[in-house]
Amino acid sequence: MSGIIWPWERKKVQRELDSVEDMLESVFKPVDARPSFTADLRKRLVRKQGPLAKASLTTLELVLLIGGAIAGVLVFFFTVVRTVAGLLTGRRGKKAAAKKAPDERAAEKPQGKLKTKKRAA
Amino acid sequence: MAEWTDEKILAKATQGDSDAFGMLYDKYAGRIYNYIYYRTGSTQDAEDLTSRVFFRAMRHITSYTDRGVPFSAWLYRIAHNLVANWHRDSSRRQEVELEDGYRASKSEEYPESVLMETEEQNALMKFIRELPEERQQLLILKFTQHMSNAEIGQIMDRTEGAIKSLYHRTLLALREEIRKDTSGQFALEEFGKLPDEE
Repeated sequence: MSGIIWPWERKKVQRELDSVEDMLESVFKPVDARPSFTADLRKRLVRKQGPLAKASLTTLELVLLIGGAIAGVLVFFFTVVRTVAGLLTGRRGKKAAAKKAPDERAAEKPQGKLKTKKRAA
Repeated sequence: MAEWTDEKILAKATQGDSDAFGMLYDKYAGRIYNYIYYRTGSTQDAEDLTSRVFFRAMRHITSYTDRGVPFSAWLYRIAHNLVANWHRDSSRRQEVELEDGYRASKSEEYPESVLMETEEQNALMKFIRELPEERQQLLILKFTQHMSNAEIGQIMDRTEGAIKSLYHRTLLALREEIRKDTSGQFALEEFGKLPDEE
């Protein structure tokens, strides 16, 4: 078949295409699904409530996720605070110990000095 | 709910309202079934695939976003993808001829439906089944769903002009097959003789 449609053939070709369209109309008749099938499928779809359940679950998951995150942050914060506090008090203790030692030494030294002074005297 | 517009129903359905999804199902189930039936030629497969289309749509409806394409186009695309997978999977199996499946299923399960009445229609359906997939899809959407070229273009992701051109070429191809047909199934007086026969 040549793909060319000559101008003098156009009317004839168009008539034939119209006939083909009429045939197609008669071939593609609407078909009905079994009513029991459509009803059963509808029941399964609506009863399942997938999107609704999914949405609730997502909300629940979101709440749990946020709650968990907050709890995690709080635990972390308290841990950090406790560690810092522990470090600070530890340093203070060391500083205090470090401060205390010279004081004690100082307190002891004068006594020694005094003793020596006394001895000297 | 009778006064609900399509947009409102769709909005509800996308929020997870199963009743709204049920309304969408009521509206589109028949069309999707028809589309799949003519793509597969089997009532059993049409039922199976229609179920899968709506279950898939239900799973993904909450993430559906309106991008200017009608909801029906979204559904038809799901159906198209599932049918394409079905054809791919069943290519190894021996396929049941559409007309045989049609007759068997209609006569046994659907006595109220219309049988293909003439051999001419059977022969034409055979030609249609031999067309490329996209042309079959176009014919089914045009004749069973009565869609415009623009609507078909939205489903097939083509321009209106491209669909118009594809449709014209499809008609010409079918006309040619009919003219070549020597089985005597067609009323050849409508089509004349082939140029090389003249």
